[in-house]
Amino acid sequence: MRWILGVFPLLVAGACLGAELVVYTYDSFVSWGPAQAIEEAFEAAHPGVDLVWVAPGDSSEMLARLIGERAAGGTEADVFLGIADVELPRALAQGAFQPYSPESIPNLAHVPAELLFDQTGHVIPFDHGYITFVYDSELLAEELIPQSLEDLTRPELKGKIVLEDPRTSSPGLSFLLWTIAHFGEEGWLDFWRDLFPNVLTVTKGWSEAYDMFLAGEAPIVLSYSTDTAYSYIAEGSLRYRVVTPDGEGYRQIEGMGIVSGTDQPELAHAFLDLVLSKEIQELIPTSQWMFPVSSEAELPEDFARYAVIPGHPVSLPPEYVAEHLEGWLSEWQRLLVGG
Amino acid sequence: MAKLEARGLTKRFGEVVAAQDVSFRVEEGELLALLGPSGCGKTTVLRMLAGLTPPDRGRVLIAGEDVTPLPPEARGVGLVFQNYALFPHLTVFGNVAYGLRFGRRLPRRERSRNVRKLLELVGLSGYERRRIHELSQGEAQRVALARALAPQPRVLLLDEPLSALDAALRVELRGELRELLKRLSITAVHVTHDQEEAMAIADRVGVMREGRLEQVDRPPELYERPRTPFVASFLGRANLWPGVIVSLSSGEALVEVAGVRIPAKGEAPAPGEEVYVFFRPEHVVIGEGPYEAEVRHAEFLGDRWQVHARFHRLPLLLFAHRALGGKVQFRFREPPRLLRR
Amino acid sequence: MALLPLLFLALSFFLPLWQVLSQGLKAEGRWTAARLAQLLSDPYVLHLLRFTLKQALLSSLFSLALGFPLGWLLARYDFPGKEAARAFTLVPFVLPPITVALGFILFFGNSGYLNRFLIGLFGLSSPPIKVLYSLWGIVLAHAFYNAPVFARFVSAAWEGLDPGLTEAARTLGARPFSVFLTVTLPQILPAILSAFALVFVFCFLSFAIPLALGGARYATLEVGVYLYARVYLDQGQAAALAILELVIALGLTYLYIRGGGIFTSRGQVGRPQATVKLFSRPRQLFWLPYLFLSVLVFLGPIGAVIADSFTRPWQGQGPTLAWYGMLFSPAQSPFIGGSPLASMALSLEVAGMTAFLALGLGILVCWALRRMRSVLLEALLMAPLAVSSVVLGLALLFAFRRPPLSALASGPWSIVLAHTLIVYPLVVRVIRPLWQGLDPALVEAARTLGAGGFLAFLTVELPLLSRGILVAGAFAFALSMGEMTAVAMLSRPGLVTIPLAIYHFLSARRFGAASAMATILILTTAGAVFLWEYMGRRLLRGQA
Repeated sequence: MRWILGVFPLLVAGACLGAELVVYTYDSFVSWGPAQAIEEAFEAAHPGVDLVWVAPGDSSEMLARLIGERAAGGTEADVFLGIADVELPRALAQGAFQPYSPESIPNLAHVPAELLFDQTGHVIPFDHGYITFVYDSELLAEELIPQSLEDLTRPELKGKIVLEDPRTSSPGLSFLLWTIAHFGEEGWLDFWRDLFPNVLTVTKGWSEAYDMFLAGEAPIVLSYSTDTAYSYIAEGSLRYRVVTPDGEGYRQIEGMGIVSGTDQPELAHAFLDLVLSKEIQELIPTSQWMFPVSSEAELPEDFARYAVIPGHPVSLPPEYVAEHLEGWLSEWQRLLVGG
Repeated sequence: MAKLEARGLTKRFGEVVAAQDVSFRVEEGELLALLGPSGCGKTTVLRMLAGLTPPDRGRVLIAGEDVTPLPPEARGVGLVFQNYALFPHLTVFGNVAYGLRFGRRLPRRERSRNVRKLLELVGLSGYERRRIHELSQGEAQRVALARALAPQPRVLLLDEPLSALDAALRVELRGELRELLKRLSITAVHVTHDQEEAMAIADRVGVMREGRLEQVDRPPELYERPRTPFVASFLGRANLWPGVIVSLSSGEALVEVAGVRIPAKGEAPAPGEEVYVFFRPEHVVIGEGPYEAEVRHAEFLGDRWQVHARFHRLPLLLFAHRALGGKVQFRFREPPRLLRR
Repeated sequence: MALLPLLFLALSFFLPLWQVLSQGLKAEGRWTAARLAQLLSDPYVLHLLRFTLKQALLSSLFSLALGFPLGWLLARYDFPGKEAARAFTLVPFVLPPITVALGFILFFGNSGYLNRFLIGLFGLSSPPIKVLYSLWGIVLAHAFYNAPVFARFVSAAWEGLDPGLTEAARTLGARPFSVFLTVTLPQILPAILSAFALVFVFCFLSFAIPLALGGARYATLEVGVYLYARVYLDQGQAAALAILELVIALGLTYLYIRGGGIFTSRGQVGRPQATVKLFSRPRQLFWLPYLFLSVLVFLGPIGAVIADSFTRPWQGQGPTLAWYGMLFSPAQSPFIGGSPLASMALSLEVAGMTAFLALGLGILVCWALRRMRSVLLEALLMAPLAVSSVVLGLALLFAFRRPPLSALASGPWSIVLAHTLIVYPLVVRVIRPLWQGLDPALVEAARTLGAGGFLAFLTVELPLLSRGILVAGAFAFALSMGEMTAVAMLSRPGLVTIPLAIYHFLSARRFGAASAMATILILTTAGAVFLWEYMGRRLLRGQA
């Protein structure tokens, strides 16, 4: 028996030599490129360490998987990257993240304070973007371009808008919160009542909505403020244009955090620091089509020209959202089914 | 030692008793028929012999070996099914070769030689490549027989093998069947509800009723000396009169039937017991005699007349060479037999 | 012995499933029906329930109407390309809902091919066909998915009929139509009911299609499960709602199985059905409207997706191979886990192994059910097919996180096993009615001829069930090819199936590339199913 006790630590040590850092993220983060650059830089800086991306779903699916795995007895994830600001309170309530040590993340110094959405010290932002409207300049008459949220309710736009479901997609949720922030808790339902006749359909996620928009089903879609920059840089087209009604757009901040109970806390901190580095942050615009959080990062020229930061970014505090969300959603869905 | 023996086979399906304490022996090369009306349990007994239905009680012995715990495939029995159960996905050859291939596992060459021989035996040479749905009923029956014989079973079981055939073919084939089984000296149990078929084909016949085996005997004995009223009436035509024993002397009894005293033979219980008096129509001699009956009507059967008469309100069936009418006198060729009620 | 795999199934899968579901019957650690009662008094849930039942019923009926003639056509007529058409009927089954939705939008949408064609033809000012974003869009898309199920079940049952019976009816003076009503229809009714139960359950649990083609206004119960599980992270409510779904779905299955035995036919599989050349008689011109309609419904959306993979919308309609170039360019390879070829290979490998394992498990379950004869057990064994996919995902997560299945947590085996668990009920539903219809005397005959129980099964029952096994295998294969829930929950880096690759492309804005990948999925599936059935049929003919 004794020799087994002697051999066992050796086996464990052997496993540690080929250490792994497992990062859960959403699929498009891996598919668009920054993931590969991060992996190369990380593995160059930490020889013998294997960075493993696990990303078979969108952000909310991956968060559900993380929470589910933890409930089922444990997860392999060391870091979770891609948690939306509105999801934060729920994730924290589940104890999914452990606090980070700011001194182990020097690059945190370059992140402006207003983007640090987690006051509890668990999650750090890595990019941000704005939800607003995009129109098809070939299908929508110029005088119908919505300059304000009220413009969206004009009878001429009947059946011409595609929205995402606030219950199942993050752009959809952002828009709901935007209307609440804009019209207040008293007025937002009236706005929606007027808006619904103009909504061709409410899709489950962003992909379905944008797909419909590209297929010419409707000339206006709820989407991201970087879409014109994307279609210009990737496809050389300026057909799809961003508009910010009332100069507004709802701000989304995406964060990353260290999963509770990780066995690689040092590597996890090093990873967070790397994502905030100038080199990686400068990849964010043309791979994530979001804005970097680091003040050091410079934007590419075409991106800077066509990507829009609204004059009046809108956001609600996550704790406030968490407290009221269920009630808002049920009122919204009652209106949706005409009840 | 009997080739096949059933000892006290009993099977219940819920409330229904399908077989109750059924015992019999079949000697080497003997052909036993199990006869009975539908639902009497004869097929259940056959399935217990084959191992397809486990008995609740009782044993099955083949050549002295207790095979009760063995599954069907290990018993060395062949079974011809009522609807033949030929494999529709196989050819005639495939069907006949099945038991040689998967049961006895003969090499291919030997298999096809055997199959050819068997098909010749049942008169179906050249049918090897036919599909099952291309066969006539009679051909299908022969294929089923060849298939069951192929693995050279120790005992062959036949479950109403002729019932699906039309009448003329049935008579023709039953002769062939008996001839074939005798030529191969196969020990066989043949289940049927057709008494004529049972008597024509079998060395001995067992008559079943409501799960019980009432009597097993050679056909002539069974016919002449049935042991129960059921056997008497199920085989051929019978007269059964209820009566009470008045007195006994050696080998003979005096029975009072409808107020008339009739002497009868047979194992007799004590005086005062209620019994049946049994005799066949052909045992009745018309003309002079101590008894008188009143003719109701007569049917012409070709070679003779079948006469329905009354003997003191009791029905009486008898044969005559001419149409009878009115009152007739008769006697018995030999004394009627006594049967317990 | 046969029970061992079933015991394994119970421990490894049904136990975790129960653990997830049982949360719906507990509150603060105690057993209670309070959650269920609360749900049934929630007007939104009741609205979802009503709508879900309504759309499922309409969808099943419409699928039957569209699928039955197709099954008839495949069973009774000969026409060029019949085998290819048969293989193609499974294509809708494998397409991820998002691709089907895209196909419908591109074909039936406001600026879809059909509307543009009609506008051009009649000089209209607005699109004449407005079927999408309504109940009828959902029904049409469900029919697109599920009509092939009816077609498959009906043609398999019809081809297995004894032609002697219809001939007998004809000689008794019945006209062809009354022969159909009085002889043919009663015999294929079990297959139709079997398919109906299946399709109803599929439509009842449908999630993505109603959302994509109807929109959030036409949400089903499954949306409720999704909301509670994913958005509110309230597993208890999600489980309670899933229990409601499961009870309804299994209740229907139970009723079907209970009633189904009555209709089971004892037909001998013998002489094959004769087929007629299509359009050999003028009367058969009645087929033309149906063919036109089915080409519109089936080929329209699929053709639109394929066409979309050759166009760039912002550059006019000129054909381009750019999307395919993108699929195979090295720059894209990291995010589809190697290459499209690797995805194809993985999907084929997983689906192939799933088909074999699911057939094995399904047949084993049928075997066990034959001995146990418990209708309730039979219905419960359908649970993987009748449970919410959200809950199924959680159950799989639980199952594969714990021994014994955790040993398989990495590698394609976990996906294969998960797919097997999801797909085997389908195999059971296809094979079980056929098996019940077999004459038990055939096996008894084999046993008295010296073949043991297993050998008799292999040499008699299995060949006689082969037609059903062929169909079940094709379905299992197709279902695995298109499956996403388990893949999303269990897949690991480098394991990217084709649907997952489509999904990746969509979320990466490569819509054309997603269509190109969907085209690859269509061709791969149709090709593989064609090969499987072609070889299967040859094998059957060879052995017979």
